Parts: sequence; structure tokens; C-alpha cells
Amino acid sequence: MPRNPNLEAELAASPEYQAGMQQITRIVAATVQDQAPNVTGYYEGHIAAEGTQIVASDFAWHLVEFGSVNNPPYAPLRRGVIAAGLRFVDESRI
Amino acid sequence: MLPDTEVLVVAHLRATDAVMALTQRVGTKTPVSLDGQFAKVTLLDEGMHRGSRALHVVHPLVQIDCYGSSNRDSAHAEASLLARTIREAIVAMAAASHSGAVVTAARATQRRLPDSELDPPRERYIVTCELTLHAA
Repeated sequence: MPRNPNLEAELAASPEYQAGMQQITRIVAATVQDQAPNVTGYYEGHIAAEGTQIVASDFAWHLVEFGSVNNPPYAPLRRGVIAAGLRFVDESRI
Repeated sequence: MLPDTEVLVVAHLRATDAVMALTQRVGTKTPVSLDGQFAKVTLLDEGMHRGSRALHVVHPLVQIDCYGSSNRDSAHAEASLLARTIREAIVAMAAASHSGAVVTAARATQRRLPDSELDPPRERYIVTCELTLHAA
């Protein structure tokens, strides 16, 4: 039986696959919120699952994620991915 | 017993001549004086190997902040060189011998992210390291 070279792309385009990925994204977004420092709740309130992406819209998200001379790196995005049971791969796109 | 990952990484960087030639200020805390370049090592996560029932193999996720000096003319180049040197040293951990630990895989990425908490913002590169290790 010949193999379908487009199988992965076809599966990824299906509504069922998209729905599954969006469900996983919502779960990961919740674990990211769990990993955030619980101070004011502002950061947690600005984490959202949009399609298959997690968006951090807190203007100071980079300070929470990567820290500074005055703040430790809480890394809720990176740790949230791991805490959700996924494998974290750093693509360094910022 | 599993080794302390931060101690392991700091010891390895301090034993790397190329890193020490740039700065001897490699540790887990922000130094008191921020004038010169320095590197700060922070353990972010340390999960167990998937499928491993025993506490043997772990996958630490480590962040290393590489700061340039307060000299605005050279800070960017200093931070970049420090980050690239440290990244190379981290990837070499899998081939090196360590006290109390065996590192079986090491991967590192870097990104430029100046520290805006300092005035003026200080040049900084962040090296994110994914290690796989177990006790010796």
C-alpha cells in the first residue's frame, strides 16, 4: 500500500485535529496560570489560549518569564508547558 | 543521590577556561557590583525522565543570564561573546566528566533580551539549557 506523504498535513487541517489541539492549548494555558507568581493576579488574567497559541498580554511578561537583576525568572510559560506534560523545545523567536 | 544542578553547571562553567577568560563572576546570585560582566545560573525545572519509575534520570531546565558590563560601547559585544562562550560550554557538558553526575545530553539556545530594570537598560543574553543527567 503506498504511503500518503501529505498524511500529517491533512490530519492537521481536519476540524477534529484542530479541536483537539485547541483543547490541549486551553489546558496548557491553565497550567501556565498555575505556575505564575501569585501576587496580584494581573499576569494570570492576561494569559489566554487563542486557537493553538498561548498569548501573554501582560506588558511586563518578559520580566515574569525571564527575570531581571531585581526579579527571579518565574518562567511560567516554559514551566507551564512542562507541567502540562508536554516536551518544551526553545525556538528562541523573540 | 541526584546532584544539585545549579552547582553542577556553575562548577562546569568555572572549570571552562574560555568562560573564566571573560569573567570569573559566574554564580547563582546577582553580584553586589553590577559594573563588570557576569553570568547568573538559575534552575527553572527538573522533571523526571518519562517512563522512568525510579528517580534516576532527570531533565533540568536551566536559565543563564549573561550580562555585559556597564560600558555602553562594549556591553553588547561582551554579553554576546559571554553567551556564545557559555552556550558552547553547556553543549560540551555531555562530553565532559563531572563530580557526582553524568550528563548524557545538553542543548542550549540563546536570545538577546536587555535588562530594562537597570538604568540605562543593560545588555543581556539569555541562554536556556535543556540537560539530561543522572547521578554518577
